[in-house]
Amino acid sequence: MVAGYSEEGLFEIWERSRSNWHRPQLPRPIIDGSKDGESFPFKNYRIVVDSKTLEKGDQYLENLFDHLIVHYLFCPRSLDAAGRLALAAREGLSNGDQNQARRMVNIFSDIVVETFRLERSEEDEEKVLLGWRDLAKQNLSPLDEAVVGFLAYLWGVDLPSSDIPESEMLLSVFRWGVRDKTKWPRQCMQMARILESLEPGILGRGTVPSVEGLGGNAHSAPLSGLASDLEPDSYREILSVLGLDGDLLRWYRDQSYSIVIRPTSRVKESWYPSSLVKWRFTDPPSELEVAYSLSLAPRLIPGVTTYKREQECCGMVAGGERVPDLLVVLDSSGSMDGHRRGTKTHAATLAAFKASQFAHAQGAEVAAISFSDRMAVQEWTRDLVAVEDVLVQHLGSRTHIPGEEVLKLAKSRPGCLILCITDTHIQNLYNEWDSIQEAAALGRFVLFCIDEANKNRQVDEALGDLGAVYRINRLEDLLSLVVETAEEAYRGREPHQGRLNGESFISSE
Amino acid sequence: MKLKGFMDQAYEGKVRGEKRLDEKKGEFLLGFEDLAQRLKERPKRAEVEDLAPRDADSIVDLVISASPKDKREETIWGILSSLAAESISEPLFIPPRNFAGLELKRGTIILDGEAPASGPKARASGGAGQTSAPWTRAHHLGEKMSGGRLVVRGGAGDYLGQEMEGGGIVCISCGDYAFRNMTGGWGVVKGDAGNYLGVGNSGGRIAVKGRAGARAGWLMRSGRIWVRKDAGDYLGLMMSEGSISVVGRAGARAGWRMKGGLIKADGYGPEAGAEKVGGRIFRRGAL
Repeated sequence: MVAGYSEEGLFEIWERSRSNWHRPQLPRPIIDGSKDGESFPFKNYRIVVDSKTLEKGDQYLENLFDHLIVHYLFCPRSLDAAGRLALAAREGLSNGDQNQARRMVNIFSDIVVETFRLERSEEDEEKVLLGWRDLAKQNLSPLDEAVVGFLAYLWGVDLPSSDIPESEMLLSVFRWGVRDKTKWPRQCMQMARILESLEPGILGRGTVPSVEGLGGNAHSAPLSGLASDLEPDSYREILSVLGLDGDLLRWYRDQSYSIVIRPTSRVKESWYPSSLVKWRFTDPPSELEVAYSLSLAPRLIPGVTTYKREQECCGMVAGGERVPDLLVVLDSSGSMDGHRRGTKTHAATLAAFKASQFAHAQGAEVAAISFSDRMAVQEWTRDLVAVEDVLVQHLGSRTHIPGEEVLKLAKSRPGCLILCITDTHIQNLYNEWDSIQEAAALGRFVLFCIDEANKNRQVDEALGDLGAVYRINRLEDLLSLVVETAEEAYRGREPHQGRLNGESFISSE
Repeated sequence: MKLKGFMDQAYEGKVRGEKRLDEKKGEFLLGFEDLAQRLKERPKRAEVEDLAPRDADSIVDLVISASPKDKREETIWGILSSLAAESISEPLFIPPRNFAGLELKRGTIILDGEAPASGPKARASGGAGQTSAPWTRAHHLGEKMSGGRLVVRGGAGDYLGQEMEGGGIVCISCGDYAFRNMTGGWGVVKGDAGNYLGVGNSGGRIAVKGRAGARAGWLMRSGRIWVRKDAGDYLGLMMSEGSISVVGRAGARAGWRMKGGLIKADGYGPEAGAEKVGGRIFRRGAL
């Protein structure tokens, strides 16, 4: 603890900063090495202030807190937004250097945050300029000088600047303003192109604000949007720019987060009031919560200080008597095309991931086989990561279905659901037929045949005798059908009445 | 209490009454790379036109400031150079670069190999303040032109005026495949032309004041070629229509396997008209 500096003083400054920005729900900062940090179990968004920072005084601290709060509230705000900026910065750099891309993301978000604050009020402007004037006194690199010079032009303030052409070029990027988030990736990319050749210095060092804010939990934050838009290699590189590890497992897992399964076999439905939302003129007057609205403001201004209760529907789902375990048999032969967006492997693996996660969430044990002319097997387990590890194996080579292994697993869990996803170019079906037939009789066998156009008719017909067969013309249908099958299997033990009893709702959000 | 008063109370008077910084309005474009980034792999002229700035000064600025890195960016830049020339009344002066004047419809582009002065007006008029730069032979100049003029104040590279439909090109000299698959318009080469001049032409007029290389007028179906000095071997090879006039001598095998059309020259090398199916070959003195 710094001499003469109390925690109360720090909290007072923190509360002042919070009130400046409408009290965002952020934990109190802690002083580096204090016990409070150990007692609170969550590290997310926790600001740690070291003794060096404390020595710089109240005004500096308030400026720092304001800066960090606006990073949290505005730019980059989320890890996904930071990822998109990182992608843009990397594309803007001719060498694609990850450290440089990270620096560009940091500089860009700093420019946005500081400009946003400066525009807000005169008081904020004073605080912002205080920080930059302090920085300008230091020994600056060409990149730092370009940014400081550019800010002097943009803000029309007196900051020490040198005649670097990049400053003027940056002005053409930011003269459109910083408030429009849809422009950020293009602005960040152009900024990276301009600043690429300059030697870096103080600005942009350290981790990306969103990653820093998550305090070590960033590795588990889902990035569904990025994963859906990028190939696995690009995804891995973007995560590296953010300072995170990204592998194939995470790529599939992040994509699967955006797929929502909503079971529909409700026994009872009820509505209950939940959060408060704005009441507007178009809403029925009976919904207006007068007492609550008046507790927040002395006057009722429609759409501004008027609130109503949101109603949420609760579906009561009957619990199943027994949850069937799930065996996923996934073709990973060469004809499935490998792990790239839009391939058969991609659609099949994503579908298998979602089905496994759903079954796991229902309490089932899961087993997985990934096969070509070799195979990778995960026996019955509750360890979802182990199953996912097997599902992302791409073995290449020929298609030899491992009938005996399927039978062995099915025998140990009679009544299990067997999901087999293949493009049916199976070359050893004759040899394995008896085992597969026996396994299908022990559980519920569902076959998904991709590549309808090039199907092997004999194989297809033979497998059709084993149980349900879905022939898939479009890869997009595979995911829906696998998820629907899984949902139907875990719906509970009510009599199966097909689709008349209610569609399963599958949405991609 | 009025809404403004309420908001002031909420923000405790901290928020500015007026905007502190001026924001630029209009089309959001951050330069040539940004434009190229938003276009697909093989962009068409209409797609570039949709994203390019509307105002003449901005588009000229964009053309001048761009530095295309690969073939895709060069084609985008070429279309932009045409759009810039079409948007201004005076000629557009730009340094020679591949694909300049691509799909030009009207206006004039002058490739003069000198760096432009600052300011779009000076750039457009080619006024004072220019500095010399080494001439580079740019390829694909005036490709797919359908109108306007392209003046090349130096040597052009390969594929000059390829697939031209209209308009006119003047240059000091040119490389191979000049005016290939031309269907209309005209081209003047003040010096020598390379090999394969006017290959596959089905229209248009070409005049070469110097020499033409080998296989000029190969597979020609229509149009005219005039060469003031000598022409290389295989002049009018397999041509089926159109006329070729050479003031000097033609090389070996002129009119080889020709099916139609007319070749005139002052003299011919060995095997002139060998395996000829149709068409006529004249010696100028004999006419």
